[in-house]
Order: sequence, then C-alpha cells, then structure tokens
Amino acid sequence: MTRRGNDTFGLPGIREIGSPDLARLDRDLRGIVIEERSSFAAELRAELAAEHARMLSGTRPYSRWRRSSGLVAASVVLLAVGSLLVPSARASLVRLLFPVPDSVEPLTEAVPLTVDPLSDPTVAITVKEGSAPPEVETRENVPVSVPEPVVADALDGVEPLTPTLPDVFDRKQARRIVTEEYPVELQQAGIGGAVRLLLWVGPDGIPETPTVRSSSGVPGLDKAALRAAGLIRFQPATRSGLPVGSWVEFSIRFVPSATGSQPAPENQAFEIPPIN
Amino acid sequence: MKNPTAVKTRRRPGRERSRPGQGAPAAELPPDFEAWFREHRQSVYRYVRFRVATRELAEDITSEVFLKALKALHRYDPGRSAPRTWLLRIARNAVTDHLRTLRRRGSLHISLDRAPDLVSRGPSQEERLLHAEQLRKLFSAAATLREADQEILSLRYGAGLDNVEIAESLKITPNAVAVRIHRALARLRVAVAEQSGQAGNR
Repeated sequence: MTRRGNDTFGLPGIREIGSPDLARLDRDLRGIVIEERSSFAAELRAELAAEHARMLSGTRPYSRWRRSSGLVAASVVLLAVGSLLVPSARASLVRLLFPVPDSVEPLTEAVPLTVDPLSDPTVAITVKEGSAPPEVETRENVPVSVPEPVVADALDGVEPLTPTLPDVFDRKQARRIVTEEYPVELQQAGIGGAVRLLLWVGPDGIPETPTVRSSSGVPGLDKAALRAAGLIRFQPATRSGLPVGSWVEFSIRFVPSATGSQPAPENQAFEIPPIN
Repeated sequence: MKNPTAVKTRRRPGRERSRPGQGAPAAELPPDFEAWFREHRQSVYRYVRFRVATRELAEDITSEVFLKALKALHRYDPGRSAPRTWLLRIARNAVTDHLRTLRRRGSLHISLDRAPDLVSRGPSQEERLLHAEQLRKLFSAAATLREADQEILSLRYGAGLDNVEIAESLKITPNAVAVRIHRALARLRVAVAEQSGQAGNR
C-alpha cells in the first residue's frame, strides 16, 4: 500500500506557520509509506462478513470468554459435588445450612411431644475396666415417655404420624464401639470420665461433625468419645413419617471398675435430647 | 517468550474461517459499511500503525475497530460526525485502551528499531535506504512525545485528516489544530535532535 502524495490531503504548508526545519519534518512525515500485509484487507473483510452473518442469525461465536466461563462453572460444580464426598466439607455445609442454636430450645416448642432427656434416657452405657475386656453394663429398652397426643374428636380412630426422636440404631453395637474405644492404658490407670458430645444425625442415620460440648478433662477420653460417636449408627428422627436430620447431644461416660467407681447414674450416662 | 505487546482480546483475522464446522461466512456487509470499509480502512490502519509499535498490533486493533463499528452501526448518527471521524474515534479509544494496558504492564516503551513496514518514499531504492535510518530516528523520537502530540500527528500524518477533520475529531477549532500541530512538530524536532545527539555521544 502506498500513501497518497503531499498535496492530496490539502494540508497547509508548514512554511506558512513555521521554520524550514519544521517544513522538512513535515515532508519526512508525509513521505512515510506504510506497507500493509497484502492479504490483511481481504481477511478482515471476511471476518467482518462472518460477524455480520452471526449478528443476523442471532448466534454468537464460541468465544474464549464463553469457553473460560464454562470451564469455571464446571470447576465450581465439580468442587461442590466433590466436597459432598468429603466428610469434613459435608459437615461444614451441614453447619452452614443448619446452624446450631446457641440455646437449646425445649422440644415441646418444636413438636407436640414432650421428652425429658434427663429423666428418660433412651440408653445408658457405662464401661467398667476388668482384667479381660471391660465389662459393660447397659440399660436397654428404656421406654420413652410419650404423652398421649391430643387429637380432635373428628380424628378419633385416626392414628396421627407422631414425630420421633433419633435413637441409637443398634445398642449392642454401640456398647461394643464404646468399649473398644476406651483406651486400655486409661482403664488400667483407673481414669474415667464423662464426655458430652454434639453431633448431627442425618436422615440416613449417619452421624457427622461430632464435637465435644463438655470435656471429661482427659484428652484421651475426649478423643475416644469422638471416635466412638463417629462410628455409632442412629435411627434418624422423623417428622410426618419421613426421616429428617437433627442435632443430637449426648454423653458417653467411661467408668473404670478398678477404681471402684459405680456405674454412672442412668440419667447421665447416654442422653439423646433432640435439639430441633 | 510471550510478546508483551500482544492484544489478547481478539483473534487475528482470517483464523475464524478455518474453524471447522462453521461453514462459509456470508460475503455480504451492510452497504454503507461496505463503502466505509473500502474508503476508510487505510486511514484507520495508518492512524493505528502510527500509534503502535508493530504491524501485527496495528492489524489486531484495526480489526477490533471495524468489528466494534459493525456492532455499533445502528447507533451511528450521520448528523453528528462523518463516517471517517466516527471510525477514527473508535480507533482512538482502542489505541488508548491498548496503551493503557501496556502502561499497566510497564511495557509501554517499545523499541522501534524493527519497523520493516514503515519505509520512506523515494524515487529509487538507494534513496529509500538512505532515508530508512532517518525514519527510524523520527519514529523513535515521536515515541517520546507526550500522548496528545502523538495523537494529533497520527491523525494528520497517519490517518491523513486535514485540519477541519482533526478539529471535528478532537472537538476543537481548526486554528487550534494548526497551532497544536505546529507545536507538536517543534517538540518532535527537538526530540529528533536529542536522539541524534545521544547517538552521536555513544
């Protein structure tokens, strides 16, 4: 491509407004030729025509931005799905969606059912130390006191779907788990204590995010209680006949028999007061 | 090594046609735009080439200018500006964006030693070669001018606008354009002299 001659632009002569040096500069600048790539004009016109066709058809090219945003979206989805497979990440999500209230509300405010967990424990687990595997005393099949539901006359004869509380799924298994997790060295040293735990029992009965609400004062016992709590399986709470997740607070009490300690009172041994 | 001056925002022209599955693009442009493209492409390209360091950058930015113009064609108001002025306004904005990006990256100052597409007019090959070194100095000196000076010199000697068109583009009077060009040339003369002096001292 060649540039047009000096006079074509109708520019005023520099001599009219400046010195001969400026006139020479002006002449040099006008004399510059820009060599354009020979195929550039045709390529650019073709690109413009293609863009115009896309504008008319309403379609957009698969741009780099769209490709990048698609990759980012796919990464976010994969990350979210992957995090659900990791227990700690899933627990964080559960906590985010179902925050733990600061104060535990009485169950009577949430559902028409009254249970005093302190007076009506569902299960009691105490562990005694012995020469062989520790002896375990349990109180099974403790009835849950459920008041008679108040129903209208019109509903006489119709059995309502009463909400149920979470409970230990297999008490024997729970006893065995607690027994196995009780550190032998602590048993032999006559060290025991009660650990109060809080955990989330999902609709599938699997506990998540066990945390220590009240320490026994012995780190080994706290860790043992956390391990045991993560292994115990629960029957989930139900509402309207459907399993729902709920926060559960209960105690695991380790009582070594070598110290002569008596089994813990039943109402303090293993409590499951539902929070929601 | 990555070219620090590369424009990342768009494709080079011509690549799109080779993408499989897209089919042949339509060969038609809006009639007005077709005429503008024929008449003003060189002005836009020359203006951009005067402002940026390489031919490749000039091609990228020129393509970007016409693509933007095509998409904004429905907003063009013939009562407010001539087509060339409108296109050059888009080009000025595109160049300003590009230079701002370079400034952010700290790579604004680019050697103009390699500018094979910029040559001096001359009747013979020998004369053009003689002018090549002078031209290189001229562009190196122009690159040291302030942006307003580079802008007005590019509009005049790159895009080839006359004073009235430059005045319309910059929204100033033609007399003010003449004064600014005169001052820009004076500063360019000083810059060229300084460059020659530095070269002589080496």
